[in-house]
Formats: sequence, structure tokens, C-alpha cells
Amino acid sequence: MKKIPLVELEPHIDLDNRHARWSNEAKHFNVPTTMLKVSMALIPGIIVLWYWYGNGVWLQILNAGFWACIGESIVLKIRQQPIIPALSDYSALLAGLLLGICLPAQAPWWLGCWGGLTASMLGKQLFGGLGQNPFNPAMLAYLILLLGFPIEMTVWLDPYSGADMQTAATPLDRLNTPGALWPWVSVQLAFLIGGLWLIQQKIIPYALPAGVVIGFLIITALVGLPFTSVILGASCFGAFFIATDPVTSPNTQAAKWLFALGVGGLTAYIRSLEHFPDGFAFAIILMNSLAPWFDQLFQPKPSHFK
Amino acid sequence: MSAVPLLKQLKPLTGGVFINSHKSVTAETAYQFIPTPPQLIYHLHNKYLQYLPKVVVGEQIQAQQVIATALTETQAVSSNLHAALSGQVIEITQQRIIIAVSSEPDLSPQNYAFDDYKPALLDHETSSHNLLEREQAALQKIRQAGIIGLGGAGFPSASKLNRHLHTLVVNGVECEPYITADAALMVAEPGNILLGVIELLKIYPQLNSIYIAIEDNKPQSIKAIQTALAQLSLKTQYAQCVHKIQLTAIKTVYPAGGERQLIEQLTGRALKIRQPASDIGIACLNIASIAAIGQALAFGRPLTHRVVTLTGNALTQPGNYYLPIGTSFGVALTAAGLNSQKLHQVINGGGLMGQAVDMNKLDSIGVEATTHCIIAATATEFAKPNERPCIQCDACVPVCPEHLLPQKLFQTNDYSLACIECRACEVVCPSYIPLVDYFTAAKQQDRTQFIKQQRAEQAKKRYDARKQRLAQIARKQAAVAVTIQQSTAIKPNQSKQPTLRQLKTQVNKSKNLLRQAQAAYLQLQKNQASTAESLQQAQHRVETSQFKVDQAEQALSKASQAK
Repeated sequence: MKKIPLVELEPHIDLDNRHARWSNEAKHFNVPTTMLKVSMALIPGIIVLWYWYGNGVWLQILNAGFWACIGESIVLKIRQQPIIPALSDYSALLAGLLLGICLPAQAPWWLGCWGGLTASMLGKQLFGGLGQNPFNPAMLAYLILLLGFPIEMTVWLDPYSGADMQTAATPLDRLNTPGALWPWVSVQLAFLIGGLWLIQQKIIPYALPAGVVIGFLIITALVGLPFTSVILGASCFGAFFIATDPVTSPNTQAAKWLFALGVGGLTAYIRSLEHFPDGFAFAIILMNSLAPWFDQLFQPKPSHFK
Repeated sequence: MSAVPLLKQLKPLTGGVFINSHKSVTAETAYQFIPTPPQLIYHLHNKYLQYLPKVVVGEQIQAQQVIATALTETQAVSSNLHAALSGQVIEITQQRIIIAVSSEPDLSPQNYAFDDYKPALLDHETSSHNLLEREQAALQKIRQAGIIGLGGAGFPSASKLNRHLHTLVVNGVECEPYITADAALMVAEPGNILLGVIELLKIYPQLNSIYIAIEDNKPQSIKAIQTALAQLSLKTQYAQCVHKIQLTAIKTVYPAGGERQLIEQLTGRALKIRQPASDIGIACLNIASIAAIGQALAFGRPLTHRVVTLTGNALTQPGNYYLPIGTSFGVALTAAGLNSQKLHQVINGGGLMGQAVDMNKLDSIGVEATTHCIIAATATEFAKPNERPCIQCDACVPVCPEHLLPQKLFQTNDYSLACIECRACEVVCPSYIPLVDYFTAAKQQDRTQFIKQQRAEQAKKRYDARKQRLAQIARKQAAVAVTIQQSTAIKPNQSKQPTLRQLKTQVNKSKNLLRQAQAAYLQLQKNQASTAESLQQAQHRVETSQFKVDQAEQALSKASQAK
């Protein structure tokens, strides 16, 4: 039998520093800049929200962002891992911002606090930190708050009168009066602008938002909702900022389309069944859990198997 | 002159990245020379071969003399190492041979102009037998000239050639950043490259298409080869060769010059995993290897020098240099104007696949045949940003030329044998994850485990065999004891008498032992490093075995007389 020699490393290689790392020239993005650009793309939407709902919007968003960072630091401290490098990729901050946007402007401050802590601790760090979480942290925290504090979570003010709106009196009821929907439409248009900028910057793939909208339209046609409802609720915000989370969406192109169609379709279906404020959070969490399976379904064959 | 013809079936590479090539500093200038290095250092290991020294310490050697040989399993020469310059061997270790140089360097080979042409060699009507002999002789020449893949892999070139080839790919696609050595060779010696092609056509007349592939960001090289081809086509004897040669411009993308990628682009045929190109009748050789093959076959000149790109911001005169193989990195970099204050890191290889070498050993690392680029980098030239967790952004998926899923491999701590380790995925990774390092580590781990397993199996087999042998011996002894008991009862004297045949084998065995002992003794005598004590031991062994032979022969003669 042939004797197999043990592999010997070449003696003159610098073992601590084996490979030359390529400098940053070819990259069009890295993790912190991605997170920052997504945060920047949220700004037009936030400004429009502020215009309609007042200063409470800013407070909720900053509050949730702050507590998300605090939650991240606590868990990192417990896990005995470096805190500053993990915080400096801004992923915890972004999760908090996304959650804060979903919170009603008049909600009590502790709602944002609980939400931020839940998003980073339960939604992300519990699974092992950035890149490991199966569910979108912001949406997970939003759902937990929605189920735990349903009254506080639904105290949206009427942008016109400033009076409290009933939980059930969603804008869907006003579809027949044109012009009355302008507050909701304008918010979604502002998020749409931010989202399109992200696509132009090649930070998010176009497949996910496009798939969400198409899936939504198909199911609205089937269940008989008016098509205009696509512009209401959290559609644009969700399609461009929540569904496009790289960690919780599938990896291959075909799987992305299927995932996005599912999110859009489920959102429309849930809206037609229930008068939940938004079906989007449920749809995204349900489809998140299917994402690994989609990946497996559409795994590309390497070239050598052709 | 017409533009470079683009082939119709040329399909662009799927995947790959567009990166700053950093080639403008050294781009497409003819190579320069360095002053004679004081020492030459030859490493005795490379990826595929292990060389055995053929010289002893203190020996005076001539330029182009064989100093070490790599053998195949069948004890045939697979490659040689040649001294580039004459001098004296001053050190031989397991790792390397060091030669103190005493001569001036010889200049580079002249660009071959095809003036002294021998038409007999291109005769296609030679009998197939003749052709076979000629092929074997040529392959032997290539092996003895020590030609290995000069593009960086170092695979012995002769192993890529066989009689079933129909396509030859001459790889001038230097896609990795920083490297311009092949471009310099193409600009300076286009004739030598064509000479190599024509020499290969002489031994393989059945080759029906020859692609010379050059990246389209090297207009000077393309022009040089084009001019040489045009001059060659004026000579009528070469007309049938020239019409087989297709000069092809490849779209600039990394890694378009990988063997598998280039073959796929040129011929549309994808190689299976770890399948050698010669399986489908294609040989893909680096342009420098082709030039070296031409030199070896036409003039019998071994591979002793090569063009190396010395570049990086810590050099004041970066450029392409014609170096004797064995020149130490320190000497080479000093010749290129090294600014040691700015120097932070030295990289052996290109900007992506190169490996950082130990800064303290610069003077003891020699340029090998596979060294095509040395980068003397400043502290800012190669950033080493902190690694962040993978966010599964899939940026690495579209750039993988082998259509793998790097992020999935990374997640599952796996590796793929299909990975060509081009590091395109690392270039685009937003989290700065050194993915290929992880893959190679996983591969290494698997391999060590495999080797351990193999060794355990071997040991178990040996142990089982030994147990069986011992049991057999015990059984035999028991049987003998029984027969002795029985025989002593009946015939007391005859059982101990060995047969004639046994005696003969005894003689042969002892003679064999004697021969072995003598050989060992002679070897020890030749080797100057052996001590007096070991010599004495060997002598004693020879004497005792001689005594045993005599005894056995006496016993045999007695027995035969008695018969």
C-alpha cells in the first residue's frame, strides 16, 4: 500500500498572516454602510409620518432604536463578546428604527422600550447574533407587542381630526371617497422613493419588492379586495424594508420570487379575513420560517454537474 | 492589420468580478535584468513534486547542470532542477540547496525569428511509429528540462500532453491583479512563444485548433503576437501551422484565466469536478511554459530563468525582471529599489491568490519556477479589515465562477472540491470574511482526518497480518514438535537433515543478504557525511553475511556429495 505523507505546511509562509487581503476597492458596499444606507432611505418616509402624526413619531423611533442597542449590549456582555464592533455595524439600531416606525405615535414610551429590547435580545441575539436569526427581529418584536399590548398598539390618531381612531376603522373603509386616503398614500409613496433609491444603489434586489406587490395584487383579485389597497397599510414599507432583509430572506433568485409572492399573497389574504391593523407582520414571519426550505428547493447545481 | 478576431462560440464567463488590476505600474514593458545574485536558493518541494538532490556539498557546478531530480513512482524522471548559474554548492538540507554563484548571468534567449528553418521536422507523412518515438523523446526532453506550469500551479507540463489532444490552449490571460510577467514575455519574445507552439505541432500534428488567448486589456501583447504571426505566415513552410492558430481576445474579468474557465469560454465545454483537461483532448498551457517548451525542444535549453513581476508601493523601480530561478526575494526586491522603511508585507503571488511570506526569511526564500509575482506592499496597500458575521446577502453567489454557494459552504463549515480558490467571493464580501481560508481549513481538516484513518487501517492490517503470522509460526512449531516426537520414536537421525532444495534457498537468501550489506556499505562510503562508527557497523555486517554464505555453501556441497 502506498504510504501517504502527512501534509506539511510550507516553511516560509507567514502563518499568522497567510493571505493577502484585498483592499476595499471592488466592494460597492459593506455591512455598516449597507445598514446606514437603509436607515437613510427611511428618512423621507419618516418625515412624511412626522408631518401627519407629529413629533411623537421621532420619539418612538429614537426610543426604540436606543433600547435595541441597549438590549444588544446586554446580551453581548452576557455572552462575553466584544460590544463595540457588533454595535458598529448598526444592525441593532436599524432593527430598532424599523420597529419604531411601526409603533403608533401616541403609544406610551415603555412600548418602544420593550419592543427595542425584544427585537435585539429575543429576535436576534437569542439565535446567535447578526446573520443567525430565522425571523425578522423588528417584525417579531412588533407581533409580540401587538399580541401583548393590543390596546396601546392601536392608538393611531386620525391625521385629519387628531381624534383617536377605532381599531377597526382602518383606511380600508374609506376607499370609496377619493382624496380621503392621502395621508396613508403619501407615507407609502415616501417609503417607495426610499426603496427605489436602495434598488438603484444595488443594496436590495428588485425581485423581493416586485414579488410582494405582484403576490398582493393576485390575491386581492381572487378575494375581491379593491386593487387600490396595495398602497395602504404597510405595503411599501414592508415590501422595500422588511421583506428585503438579507438574513431572513432566501438566497437564490427563484426562491426569492416565491418568498416574495408568498409574503404579498398572505398579506392580502390576512387583510381580507381579519381587521388586524396589518397582516404584513404575520405574513413575513410565516414566510421567514419557510425561507430555508425554499433555498433547499431551488439550490443551484454547480457547473461540474452539468 | 485587422483587429483581433473574436471567436463566435466565445461565451462570456458566468460569474467573476471586475477589479482594479493594479497593472499600470508594470504593464507591458519589456523585462529588465538584475545584477548577478550572490547566492541561489532552490527549494526542493513544490505542490506536486519533491526533488532529490543530485549534487554534494562543495561540488563545483556549471550553469544548466542538473542539481536535483523529481522521480515518478516508476522511477522515471518527472522533472529536474537546474542550476541557473555556475558556482559551488554550499548547503544541502531537506528543504533546499544553496549555491554560491561565481559566474556572470547569461542573457535572455533571443526572440526566435524563424530564419533557420528545418522543413524535415514538419513532415506530416512520417510513419506513426516514428511519430510515437518522437513524441516520447520530446516528452522526455520536456521532463528533463524541468518544465512545470509557470502560471503558478506548477503542474508538470509533460503530464498534460498526450496523443489524443485535438486542441491546444495557450493561456496568456493574466487575470490576477498586479501580475504582468506573461505580458512582458509576450511583448519581448513573441517569437519564442510561437516557436513553442510549432515545436508542439511537430510532435502532435493532429492538433487541429490552437487558441492563443490574451485578455483584452493587453493591447501591446496582442499586437506583438499578431505581428509575429503575420511575419510567420509570410514564410510558406509555416502556412499550414499558422492557419490553425487563432488569436483570441478574452473579456477582462477575474478569474477568466483559470484553466477550467478559459476552456469553457473558448470551447464551450465544461470540465467535470477535478477532471483534467487532457481527458477531453485539450491541453491548456501557460504562455511562459510554452516558451520554455520551445527552448527545450529546439535548443535543449533547460528552464533556469523566468520573468517575475516585482511590484508594490514599497519599490522605487517596479517592473518585470528576468531572474535566475533561485534568486532570493531579498536580492530581487533590492534590485528593484526596495524602500525598507515603507515595506510592511511581502506577498508571493498576485494580489488575490498570493501568500504573505515571513518577513524575517526574505533572504532565504528563493524564486521558484512558479513564482510569477512578488509584491512589496506598504501598510496601507492591503487592508485587513475586521471580519464581521455573514449576513447572507448572496453577493458571493453571482461571482462564483464554479457556480457554488460560498455562503452556504461557510455556514455549514463545509468545502467543495470544485472550488478553484480564486477568492472572487472574498473580494465582494461585505463582511470581509476570508471565505477561502475557511474552505481550505475545512479541506485540510478533512484530509488530516482521512490520512489518520488510512494510517489506522494500515496499522490494523499490519497488526492482523502479524497476529496471523505468529499464529502460523506457533502452529508450525507445534506440528514440528509433534513430528519430531513421532519421528524420534521411529527414525532418530533423519528428521534434522534438510533437503537439497532447502539448502539451495538458504544459500540464495544469504547471498541476497550479503549483496544488500555490500550495497549499504558502498553507499555509506560514497556519502561523505557518514561517520566512522556507522562504516564500521556496515563492514561488520558484510563480514558476518559473508561468513553465513560460506557456511551455507559448505553445507550444500556436503549434502550434494552425500547424495
